[in-house]
Amino acid sequence: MPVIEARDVHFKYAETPVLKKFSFVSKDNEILGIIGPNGSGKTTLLKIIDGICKPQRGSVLLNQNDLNKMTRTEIARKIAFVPQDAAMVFSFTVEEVVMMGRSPHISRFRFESKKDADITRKAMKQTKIEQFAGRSINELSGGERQRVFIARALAQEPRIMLLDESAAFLDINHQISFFELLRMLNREEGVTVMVVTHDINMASLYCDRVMLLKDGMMYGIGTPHQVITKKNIEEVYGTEVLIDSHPIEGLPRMTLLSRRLSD
Amino acid sequence: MERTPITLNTVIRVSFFFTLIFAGIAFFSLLLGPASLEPVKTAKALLFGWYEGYEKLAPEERTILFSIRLSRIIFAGLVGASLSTAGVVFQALLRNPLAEPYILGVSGGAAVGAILSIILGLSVISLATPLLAISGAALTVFLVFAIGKSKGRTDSTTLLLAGVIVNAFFSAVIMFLLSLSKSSDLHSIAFWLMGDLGAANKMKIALISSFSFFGTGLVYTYARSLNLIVSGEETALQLGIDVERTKTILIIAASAITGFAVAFSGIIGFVGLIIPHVMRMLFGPDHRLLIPAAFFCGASFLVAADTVARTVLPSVELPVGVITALCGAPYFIFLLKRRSL
Repeated sequence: MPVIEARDVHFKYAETPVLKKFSFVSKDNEILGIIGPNGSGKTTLLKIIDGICKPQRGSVLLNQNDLNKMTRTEIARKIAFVPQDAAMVFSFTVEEVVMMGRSPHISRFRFESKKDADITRKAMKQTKIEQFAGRSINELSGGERQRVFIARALAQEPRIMLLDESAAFLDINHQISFFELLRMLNREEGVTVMVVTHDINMASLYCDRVMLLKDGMMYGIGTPHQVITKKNIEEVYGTEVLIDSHPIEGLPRMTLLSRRLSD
Repeated sequence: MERTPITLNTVIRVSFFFTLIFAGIAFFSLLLGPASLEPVKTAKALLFGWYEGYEKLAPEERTILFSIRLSRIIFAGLVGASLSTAGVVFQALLRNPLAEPYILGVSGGAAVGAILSIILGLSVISLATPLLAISGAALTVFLVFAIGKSKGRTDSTTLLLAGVIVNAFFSAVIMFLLSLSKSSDLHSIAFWLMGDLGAANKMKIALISSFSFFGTGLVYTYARSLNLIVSGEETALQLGIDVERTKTILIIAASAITGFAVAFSGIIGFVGLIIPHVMRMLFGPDHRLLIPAAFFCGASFLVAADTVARTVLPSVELPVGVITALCGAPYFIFLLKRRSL
């Protein structure tokens, strides 16, 4: 059963087209990596899938329901979104922010229950931020804050998790932990993951499928072996690369070449 | 500073505590004035007045207590509660710590309405001034809303700018009207512009309390939504909040709360700016605690300020807005220096 289906989606900001003739069907319970150069429409695609940007043409279906006909609460119970980074005007604590993830599951007239507190605790444990629980989110580093937003998304207990370059601020240790966490969620809890990333090697290592975007169009989608090829990457990014195999996993591995070498 | 999440228990305890503080300040305020009342007798009159304590206060003392001071204190409390609650809501919706209840032009619109009623000599008719003031406020909010809204979305920055511009326009209109008005009207206009809690009566109290309680109650059901909206509108959308609908309801509710307070009391500054900040510094930014704390503390603050305004100088009553600004500004600076927002 397809989880997310986009049908001939067109989207533009003011007069600038961002996505054109975009169609795709996600597979249930997969990790889909979305790669592409700056301005190729990756973030916009995630926002369209979450129903935050409304396409001018075409439609997006979530479990065969038109996203446009669903309320925000209905969507938020199914889809969680982890933003790049978000500054906060007022200083909520880490635990308060993570607990906000429970919001779509609680009536407007109620406080969080014991169960909500437990789910919040579990999410903080999974992302290793329990030690910051009572601290203001504004006192944390970019990487730590990123883990708080991931924990908030976990607390939402979504079926689909959208992540927008969420590993960009993390050091290599936390990057691996981040992708391992996504894999665990995907394998053990059956969460479908769509992750926008600039790190093509990480996408190769952890994603079941990879989508390559260029100028708002889908350039290719498939397994890492099918998509991460020398020809594809060079055509889309316009820079020369070397593709060989990961020595242990056998997945495509990309090496950048300095312009001096490639000339 | 570490903090654990807010529970219903915390909200009840804090509200109860601030209610006690309000009661204390109100009682103290009842005793003060040109004719000071004796505390024990007053307490008895308040508690048992309707059956046994009557003869213990002189009739004129009873008039002072019940008809003048008590109604004025209740009125001041309601206005203070309204303004600081509305301040909390506007700061959250506009995600701007400088926002206050008058930011969208409510005060300017109300002032033009009120001054017109005074200049045209309508102020002798009961409720004419508040009616014109509330109409001015309502018209202004709709105007600002119309400017701030484009393609079905309200952008906070545009809304804020629209409010500032409309307020600037209205201060020009106010100056123009002032230059036309008779010197005999100037005193009542000046008093209205600086806030006046003097002419409280049952009708005003009934009207303002219904708006204050109903409005605050309505706003409170959106307290968690406000937490999400201050975290960013996109975040709120992603977490299931219908942001446009929520904003529209809350702006109308907060404007109505402010509009009624302003219409009956004139423009009392600083309460709606400072109380929400102080409460946020004390209790953190969770609106489920912030709203009740600001409601009760705003009430206490304005009753205290009004008590000072009517007692500090013998035979002269100061506009309460003078006191709120005189005490509010230095205290605010003190807090700013001690701790960041």
